[in-house]
Amino acid sequence: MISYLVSLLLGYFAVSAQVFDYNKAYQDYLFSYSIYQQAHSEYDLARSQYLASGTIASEQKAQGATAKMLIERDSATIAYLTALRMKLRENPGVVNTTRENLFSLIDNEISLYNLHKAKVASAGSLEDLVEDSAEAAAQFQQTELLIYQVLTNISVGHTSSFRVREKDIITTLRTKITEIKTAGDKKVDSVERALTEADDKLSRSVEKEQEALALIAKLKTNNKDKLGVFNDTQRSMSESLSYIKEANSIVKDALRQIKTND
Amino acid sequence: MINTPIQPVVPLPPVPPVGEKTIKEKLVALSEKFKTLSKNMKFLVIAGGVLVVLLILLTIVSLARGGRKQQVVKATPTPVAVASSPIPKYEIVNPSKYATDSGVLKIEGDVDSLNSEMNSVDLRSSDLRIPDLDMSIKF
Repeated sequence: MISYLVSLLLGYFAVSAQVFDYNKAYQDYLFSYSIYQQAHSEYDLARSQYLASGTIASEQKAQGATAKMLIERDSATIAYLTALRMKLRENPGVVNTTRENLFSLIDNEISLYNLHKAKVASAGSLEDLVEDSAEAAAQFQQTELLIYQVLTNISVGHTSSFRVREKDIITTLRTKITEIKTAGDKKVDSVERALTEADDKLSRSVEKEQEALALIAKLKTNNKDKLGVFNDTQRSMSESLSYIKEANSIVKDALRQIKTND
Repeated sequence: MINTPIQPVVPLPPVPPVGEKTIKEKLVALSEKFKTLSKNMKFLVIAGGVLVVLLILLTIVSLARGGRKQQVVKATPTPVAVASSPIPKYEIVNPSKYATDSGVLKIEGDVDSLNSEMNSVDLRSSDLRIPDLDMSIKF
């Protein structure tokens, strides 16, 4: 009995250890980021010591610390992109072609940072490392743009999924209304009008989504305020969600009418 | 005859009975005794004294506060047994025949579930804020 329970537990842990989902990817990212922060502190110290003393020993130490920090910076970026990829994969509502396209772009970014890591490891001087860092910094501009595109599409995935469910609810309710009309034991005119209003709310929700997607499509690599643009897209997305909530509220009210005697 | 001058009678200061000491003498004796004590003993005596004074002060303060307080008897309602049924979100005063219709109730459940999910969704994916990375490396 005990051996059976032990094997069951071991089996459970083995299975759970194999699962790589968003939560696992996110924890990996947090861990990777904490290592980067530690490496950055060491780099800061070595850099200050080198700038203060200028000795060969301090230069070598600074070179080692810089290389380590740059490698961990790449690792943290890769871990972040992996978590983002998993979020996109698990998110409902994102159109398949969009998802696959974004997957491909994320994978390409991850490959670039992996290559960059290998390059940093082979750097022979501080100057080489500074150049390598600048190269990654330029790439990161592109990465930021992709991140905001993915995050916006994840938001759109949420609202699309909610809207599809709301539409399904309205369709089912319309079928019910047809039954009630056939039975002829309840007035449903106002309920039908309410559902038309709910449809309008859902259409407005789509418009707000389109606004958000248009905003993010205009975002360029050299834009100095990418976060500002992303915030604007999020405002549109919030409005889009609000419209769906309003539609849901209308449906709820329609149900109350159906449940109440004329 | 020799005339001896009569001296006015001066009342004598009260003399304590033999074997009894005055308060002043007692205090002097105590201070003499205190002087003979070791440093540690002196400290203990002073600390003890301070503690006693503090206790007295605390007692006085608590008595003064207690005296000012008036005992108020609060009326507490008698607990009433309440049935542990879920509270309806709204009450249908005049229910139609569709109030208990399974199809209608199913739709209502879907509406509530969707509402709850929409209220809890993090559209922005706040946990995935872009990491703060130092991109300006200079020497």
